[in-house]
Amino acid sequence: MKGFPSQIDRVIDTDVLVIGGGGAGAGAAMGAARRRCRVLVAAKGRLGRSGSTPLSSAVVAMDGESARKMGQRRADPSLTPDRWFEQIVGHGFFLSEQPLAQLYVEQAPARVAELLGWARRAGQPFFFGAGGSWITTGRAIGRSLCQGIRESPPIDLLEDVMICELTCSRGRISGALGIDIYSGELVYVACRAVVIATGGFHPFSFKCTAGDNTGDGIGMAFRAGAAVADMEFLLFCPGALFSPRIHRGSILPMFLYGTGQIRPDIVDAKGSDLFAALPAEVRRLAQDPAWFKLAHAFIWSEALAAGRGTSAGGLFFDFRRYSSWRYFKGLLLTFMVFKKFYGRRFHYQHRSVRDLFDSIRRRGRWEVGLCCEYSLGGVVVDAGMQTAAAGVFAAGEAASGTFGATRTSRALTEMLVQGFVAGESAAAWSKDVDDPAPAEDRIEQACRKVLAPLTRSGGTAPGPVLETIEAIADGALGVRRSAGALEKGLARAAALRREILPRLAVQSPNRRYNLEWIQALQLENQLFCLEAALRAALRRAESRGQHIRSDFPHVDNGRWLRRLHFENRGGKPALRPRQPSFCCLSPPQRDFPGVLDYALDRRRQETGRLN
Amino acid sequence: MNIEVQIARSRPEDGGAAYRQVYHVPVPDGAGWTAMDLLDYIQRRLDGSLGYFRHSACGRGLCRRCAARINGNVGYLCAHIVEDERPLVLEPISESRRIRDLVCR
Ligand SMILES: Cc1cc2nc3c(=O)[nH]c(=O)nc-3n(C[C@H](O)[C@H](O)[C@H](O)COP(=O)(O)OP(=O)(O)OC[C@H]3O[C@@H](n4cnc5c(N)ncnc54)[C@H](O)[C@@H]3O)c2cc1C
Ligand code: FES
Repeated sequence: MKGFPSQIDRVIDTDVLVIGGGGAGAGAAMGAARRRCRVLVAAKGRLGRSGSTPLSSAVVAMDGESARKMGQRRADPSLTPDRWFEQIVGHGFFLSEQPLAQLYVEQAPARVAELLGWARRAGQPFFFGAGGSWITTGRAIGRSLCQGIRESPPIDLLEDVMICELTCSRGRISGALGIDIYSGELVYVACRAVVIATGGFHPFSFKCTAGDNTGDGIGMAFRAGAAVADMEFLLFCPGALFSPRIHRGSILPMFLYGTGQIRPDIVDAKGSDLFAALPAEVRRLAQDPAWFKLAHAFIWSEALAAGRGTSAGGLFFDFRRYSSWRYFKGLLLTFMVFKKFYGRRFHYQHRSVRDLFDSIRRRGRWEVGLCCEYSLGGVVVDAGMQTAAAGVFAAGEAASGTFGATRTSRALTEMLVQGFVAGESAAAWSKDVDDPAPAEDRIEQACRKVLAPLTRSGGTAPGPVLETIEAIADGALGVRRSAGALEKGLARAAALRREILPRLAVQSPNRRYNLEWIQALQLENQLFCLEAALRAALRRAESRGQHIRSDFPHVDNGRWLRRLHFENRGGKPALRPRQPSFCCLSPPQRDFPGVLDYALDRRRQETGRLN
Repeated sequence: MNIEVQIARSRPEDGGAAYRQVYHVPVPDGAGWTAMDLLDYIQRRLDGSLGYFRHSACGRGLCRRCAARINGNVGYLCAHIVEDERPLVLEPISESRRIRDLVCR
């Protein structure tokens, strides 16, 4: 291949490269293809079957007024776009970039309606829930997106290809280097624009997300010159199963709790109810679907920090107060809901969960924990999804800014809206610029970097490093944080970056499905995200969303209505606090003693306004 | 308990020659590990060159990409619970489509 380094096995030329095959990637591909340009999707896994999208449980939403206009008689017309916008910004503790939240609200009806159309034609079950939301399964979302891709103008697809590095030339994007995971070939995609749609980063050992979510796009975009922000904000789902191992990470308990048919007590290792002694108003807050995750994460993490958890760091869902009759009734009602989605009795996410329900009948309890479901942090984008790196766009969970400090609205809607806008913007950009100048030296450099772990001898194996990263995250980045633990974690992470990362070596030199090689390549991104999250969490000397500092419990609006950006200064991440745009809603001026006080105050305002 | 895992291996770096390798994995009693948990343990701690479907694993029986022959029957690695101390035998689902060890294209 003329003009390309000899290490490259395949070169592909396109206008817009979309990296990621989840909802944001599929949306971006369709957005760009409709603008009549050449589009290629490269995904580490399979389209619609990788990342978080197929694992979601899954609720997509628009405002209630628009849902009513679409003929949903049960939609809540009082959930107007304005009210929804206010909720998003208020629930996110006013760290949303308000133009991004506006875009989300404005474009949600069109994107969700389109998804429902694909779902209908692909025969996938979607049922109207409440407000302006539809409930379905992650698999149905994935299949509906594939239907959308089939109906779209042509889109090229590379599955099981992991993009490792973006290359720039004369200050703008010129392509990306990846590896074909099965054959081990080096693939270079020459392009004019890139959309990062690689999902979030999930560094903990306890996972409810897929193996692909290693923060690759966040790391790559930063190295190409984009800024990242909000890395300290992670969303924990209260109620993922610890055991039995086969269901580990399943969020069925939370889903079950949410349906409200059988609501277990939540008890500590000694059997004491976590909620019994709490004021009624806090208990009501914890039952409110909007505040459920925040309130539970706060209360659970407080109990865990006080040493009331199990040895695995969990709590129990305890069903023992139910009589057999009441238990069976609740179960029956729950499974009538589930059967609509999974077609079979006692199935959740297409797998039998009969063993779990039998265990309740045997008077067992479910051991559950807080599991990271979504990362609010990611690449900084404007309302056209453009990043600070010319020609690089980002969308979905890999981007940041829509929700602020925590999220109570739907990420599935975010990925659709942002994906589509990013695709359109990338297509428009690719039409405005001419072909990038060749950058053989940059490509050569990227090749050397990607191949390095295969050729080094006597270095460190990635497996134990991966386990150390998880241990650091488990120890310092959970819901409750403190300066001591964060500093310790940060020192360990920085040492890994300095001393281990440059020495990573794999056992097998052959590139075909070389898992260790893939792990070695991912580690740079995982470590980048981890270190950024630890640094931001340490710097933010207050509590906000699910970032709860035991040493700084108050919500400090005087000093901390700021997003923490990491900007690329000569390759190094420089931390810069930046005020988000308050273009529509002004933030509260006063501080709050804790995040629950903030949440209670908002809830009072919201319910007061409705009555 | 200590579980013996026998894995049918074929590494491209050895010219694809087929052989069987035995590992012993200490599994906490009653932990209910899956075959994928065992492979994770081996790959991360004992033998990094081991190949099994992992790069985009849902770990929840959803993506249906981790198929292997488990004790002679085709099943999913992430959905197979290792229940007793019998040796666990893991083989690829197809010889002709084999890329490395348990990975088939
Ligand atoms: C258990 C669970 C339940 C959830 N429930 C809900 C819900 O009910 N409602 C809701 O709104 N949200 C929910 N979410 C969140 C939501 O599912 C995600 O935020 C959303 O699906 C993210 O979509 P995405 O396209 O941005 O990323 P993903 O779906 O994660 O896709 C990322 C894609 O990028 C690919 N990729 C990664 N790295 C690379 C690379 N280096 N090169 C090439 N490709 C790469 C992956 O293979 C994948 O195809 C849930 C999440 C989880 C985990
Ligand atoms: S990893 Fe998805 S089914 Fe096993």
